[in-house]
Amino acid sequence: MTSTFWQRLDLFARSASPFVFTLLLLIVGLVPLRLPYLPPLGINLVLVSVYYWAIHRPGVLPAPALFVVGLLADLLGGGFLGVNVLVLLVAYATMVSARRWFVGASFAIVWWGYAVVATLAMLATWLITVLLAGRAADLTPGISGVLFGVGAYPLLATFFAHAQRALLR
Amino acid sequence: MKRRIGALAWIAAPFRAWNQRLTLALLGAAAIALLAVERTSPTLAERARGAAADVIAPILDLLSRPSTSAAHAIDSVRELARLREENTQLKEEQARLLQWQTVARRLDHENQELRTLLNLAPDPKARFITARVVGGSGGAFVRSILVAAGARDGLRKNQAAITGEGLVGRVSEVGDRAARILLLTDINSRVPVFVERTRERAVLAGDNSDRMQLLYLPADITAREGDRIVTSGHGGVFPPGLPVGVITSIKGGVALVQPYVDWEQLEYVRLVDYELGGLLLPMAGQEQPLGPR
Repeated sequence: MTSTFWQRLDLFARSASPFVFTLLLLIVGLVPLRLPYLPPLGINLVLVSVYYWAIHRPGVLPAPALFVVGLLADLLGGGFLGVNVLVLLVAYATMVSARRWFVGASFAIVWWGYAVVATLAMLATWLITVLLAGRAADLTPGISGVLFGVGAYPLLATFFAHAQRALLR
Repeated sequence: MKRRIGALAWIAAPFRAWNQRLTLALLGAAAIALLAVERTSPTLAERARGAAADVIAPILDLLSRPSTSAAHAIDSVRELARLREENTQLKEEQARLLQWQTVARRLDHENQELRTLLNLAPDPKARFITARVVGGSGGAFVRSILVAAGARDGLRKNQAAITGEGLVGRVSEVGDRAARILLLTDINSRVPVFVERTRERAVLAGDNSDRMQLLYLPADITAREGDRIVTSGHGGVFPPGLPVGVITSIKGGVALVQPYVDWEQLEYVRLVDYELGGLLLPMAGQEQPLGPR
């Protein structure tokens, strides 16, 4: 029995949903929310999505998809071209190779793992920016951005877990 | 049959892993190539970002409207709490400002008279374009905003962006209907300024924090805390005299400046089209012919 066109389209839409979520989080990070004390989010929310899928379903958000997300983040965010691409790819490679430590681990450990990855990604972004600009940049907005991402992780991870059960099966 | 699939998987697995690693390496190399493009031909990168801004600006414009309303609601609750106190303050301020208005009128009149006497060439006229802020900073180490106005509205690279409070930054990339403003606090921002009281020149530089630094101050600096910093107009990019901020500390030759602008409240900015055209604009195809002085 061959699958019909609609079945294949349905399958494609389901498998593309993690990519769509990631793009939506990228756009949310760009909207000026004008809320007091809200740090610049940058790719912190995107990183939550990348981390979640790299740990729980490594196939659904492959490296080429991350390249596209990173490039869009660079183009739309106004930073240096290539910075977010490089940081996302390196973070992804690290996550995939460290995946065996996190599969089946408790939520707290996975959450802790995210905090470490987000901090390293922020420091890498800082380093590349400083090298390109030739001038030291204040780290505070980076730190508060990471803290915001770590705080948002449980909420987003719960949403992704539901989406994984409902869409990807 | 089952054994054969198992055997195939056994051969295919390392091949797949190898393929994945190769893809990652190639994409990593492409990312480094992008960084090289940024370093060697920034104009190309700028153009790409300008085009991207055009595409995303309408979407962000739509999305930012509800968040703006929410921010307004939060603000009104905050304001309600200190209405009385603010009212008293405003009354005092109004009385003080009325005095200043009288002084300003007298000085303006006197200034005109003196200019006529001296036959001084008039300053170039400035035109203003108002634009809505639709996009915030794209990262922790980038301080910029996206506005919903572009080349078709008369925006050009390096125009000054201001609010009622003071200077915000300069136009760094222009799309057709959207543009990016590099804020004063970005690490790539440099603005020629001077201390209003002492006329000491300096370059205002951002370091990604909420305060900015004054570079190249003279060694025997006489400016002190509380002095106002305004644009000097050197280089012909910005009109002179735009308020920037106040000096908050001077320690060991490093002066920190607190900007007048409240970065969280930026909703509209005005772009100053200064008819000097910008003496620092070497890029062809981006300049408009100079208007009559």
